[in-house]
Amino acid sequence: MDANIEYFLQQYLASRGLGWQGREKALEVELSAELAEALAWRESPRVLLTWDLDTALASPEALLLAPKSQSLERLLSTINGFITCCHIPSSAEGPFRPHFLWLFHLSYQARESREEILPVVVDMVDGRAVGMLGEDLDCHPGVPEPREKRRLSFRRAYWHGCEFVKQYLREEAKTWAQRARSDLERRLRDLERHFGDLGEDGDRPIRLEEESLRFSPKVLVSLRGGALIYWKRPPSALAVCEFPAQPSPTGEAPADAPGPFPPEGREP
Amino acid sequence: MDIPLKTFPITVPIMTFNWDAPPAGPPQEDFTEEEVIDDMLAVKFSRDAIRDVITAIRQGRWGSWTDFKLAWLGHVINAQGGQDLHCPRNLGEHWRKVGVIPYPHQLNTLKTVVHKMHGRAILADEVGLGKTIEAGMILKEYLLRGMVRKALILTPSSLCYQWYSELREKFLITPWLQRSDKDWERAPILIASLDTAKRSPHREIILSQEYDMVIVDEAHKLKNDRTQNWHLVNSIKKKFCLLLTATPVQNDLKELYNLINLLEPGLLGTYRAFRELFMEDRRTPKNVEDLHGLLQQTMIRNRRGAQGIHLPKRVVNNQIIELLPEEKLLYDGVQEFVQREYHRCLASGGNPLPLITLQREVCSSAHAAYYTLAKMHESRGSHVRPLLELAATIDKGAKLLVLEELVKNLGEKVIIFTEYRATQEYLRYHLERAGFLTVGFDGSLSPGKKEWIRRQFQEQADVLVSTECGGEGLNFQFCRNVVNFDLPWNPMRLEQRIGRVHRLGQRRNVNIFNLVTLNTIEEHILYLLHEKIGMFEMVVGELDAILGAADSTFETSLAQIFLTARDGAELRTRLDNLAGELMSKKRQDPLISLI
Repeated sequence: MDANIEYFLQQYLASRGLGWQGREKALEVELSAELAEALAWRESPRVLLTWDLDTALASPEALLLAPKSQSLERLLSTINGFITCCHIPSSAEGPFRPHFLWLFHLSYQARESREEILPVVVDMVDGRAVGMLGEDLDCHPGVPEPREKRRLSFRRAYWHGCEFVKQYLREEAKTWAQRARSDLERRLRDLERHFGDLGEDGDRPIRLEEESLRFSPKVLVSLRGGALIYWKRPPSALAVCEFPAQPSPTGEAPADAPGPFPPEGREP
Repeated sequence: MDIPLKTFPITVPIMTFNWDAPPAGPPQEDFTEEEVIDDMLAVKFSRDAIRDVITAIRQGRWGSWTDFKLAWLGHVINAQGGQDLHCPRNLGEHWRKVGVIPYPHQLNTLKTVVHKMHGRAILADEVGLGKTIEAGMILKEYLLRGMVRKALILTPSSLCYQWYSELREKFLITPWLQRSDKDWERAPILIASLDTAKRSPHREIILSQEYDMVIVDEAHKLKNDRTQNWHLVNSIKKKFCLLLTATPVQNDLKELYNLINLLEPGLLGTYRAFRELFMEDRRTPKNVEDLHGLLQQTMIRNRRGAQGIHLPKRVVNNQIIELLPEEKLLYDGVQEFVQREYHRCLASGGNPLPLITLQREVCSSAHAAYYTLAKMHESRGSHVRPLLELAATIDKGAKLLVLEELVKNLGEKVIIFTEYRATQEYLRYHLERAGFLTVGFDGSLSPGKKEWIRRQFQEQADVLVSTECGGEGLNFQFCRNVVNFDLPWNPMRLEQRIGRVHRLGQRRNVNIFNLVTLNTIEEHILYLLHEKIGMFEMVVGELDAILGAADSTFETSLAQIFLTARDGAELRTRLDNLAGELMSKKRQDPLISLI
């Protein structure tokens, strides 16, 4: 998804019925009392929403809404966008099939770190998962008829999503991980050589372990949201990448799936 | 003893404050154990995530597709900031509210430590340039990235509270202060004194833990690899490590080697190889360019004047004060007594320290001298009695009269430094009677009390009267007036006093008032420090280096000169020689240029 902060803010303000005036690296806005409270903004309602740190530090009437800022996180928390249920209209024959779209957040940690949002769609009937949707989805509210009954529980669908993420990382993060690995191996070799020169083992095991902890490539995966989408067209047609994932015969998550989970709810 | 002991009872007023609790940071996410994929990389999945989704479904918190897409877009944008530094953006808004200015050199340090040094570094900025702020930024950065979950901060005990309040107020981090054995295991972010940490059973518990980050303040205490301090920090299992010191090397290149070995063992090779490659002798490096290159891989030193780091001016105001007649009598009597006894003491192999102390105290106040004279009266007998009687008669000295006038005219908060607890009591008593609200600060206070007093001073009191120990490491940028009621003989202590207010965060010029009595040792001290060494205009690191370069301690040299000079002319000549010696050592010392 191609994104820039200015566009996002404009979309957000429009969705809240708030107008704005464009300024340099900022939008000038008259905040509603509700939004001012959500953003913990106690000054005058007229505010400069800026994505530039220098502008924010220099101006008392500016509020920093840059990536990783507290205000952007507060703003995101005002959007009821964690889960949704909708369908993609189609005139094709047959019932709608339930899918669950997971928005995974991947944080890559090693010598070079980065983050990404990976959307993964899991078919709630056969468990197939695809990722990286390449087309803007035209979803409509509500549960359509006729529709197939979902065979997968949400936790099972999550497990499929996680399996997909692992497969995705195997393929897509290979170069990054290889680079990080070889960097780590070089550092470990240097350390081994140093302890060899010292002629004593000393703290060798601790130091090697520390270096591994520090430089091993690692990915932390969490969720940013989920959508139950009824679809007639298989989402794989929209997928940029697709990896095989085994459907569960029982519809339940395996013992090693991330959990524990509370009892599941019903979709609307 | 029939000479009445003077007391100056101080009634400390009860003051109340609003301690604003900072907002708590986001809770830490719970992740599964690592799962290794193809022997290449480890993956951890959030345990909380699916629970949150299912809870939302159960509670029917379904939103619209429009909002879902909007939130999706927002998360993508937020994730795009993942390669940049998180801390300044996360805290930018908060910093503006609490008046923290992230200086460019601090942001550069954060960037270098995170992106180039990968979380292990010696932060060796000169005093007052914000090493603690830099360390706080780095800790926050790693917390926000989810790369640090357990951290240990080791500091001198006097600075524990300062770290606590800085992390809370400036970085919205809520650390624990170590109080019990259990804290080592339970606290995600713990502040503890290095002295406690190295003792049993604490040491054993610490060594059984794994830390994502260890921060050591005043890390020059780790420069000797034969000490418990060094061994403790070396043995702690840690992923990232920050060592904070303004003086990474003072007397021997091995000190620097030992510090770097704690962070990046092998970077400088074995000590034997290091010595062959980089040491002419213990103070003289060779292959300096190569050594510099290696040091830059793990040490950052920001200096005043460089990279746009400018502090407000120091405005020095020397007030030369004539002693009252009875004070002059006392001073002359004490000086004569001390010189006579000093020679006798040296001849008999006795300890001259009490005499040196007395000589210094009489420059501070008659009240300070009184206590030492009273003790000597008990041990040395009746020839001290006339001096003791004289000291007991002096109530308000000439310096105090000038001080009262000065505080009144300034009409702003003032920190008054003295070396002696007795003078501290005497000053507070008289200033309170003159209508000023005072607080006292000294080394005997617990860290919690120190922080309490610091806040009392910031919010309500007019005057803080502090002794040496109280001044070290604590920050009072909200005040810009420093009065040196007496002058310490060690210029580093004088610098530390001024450094409490003349540091980053101070936006106004700093006024330094030196109260010096005419025709006394103080006048000579001022001559040496101000005119000969130029210490008030000197960069702090330079002063460290000059004193580090001196063979014997500066104070000992001074005491010898003062107590053995036959007359004023000889005294001046010997002080000139001492200053010349120090300045030439500074010019020639290769260690100074290395860092």
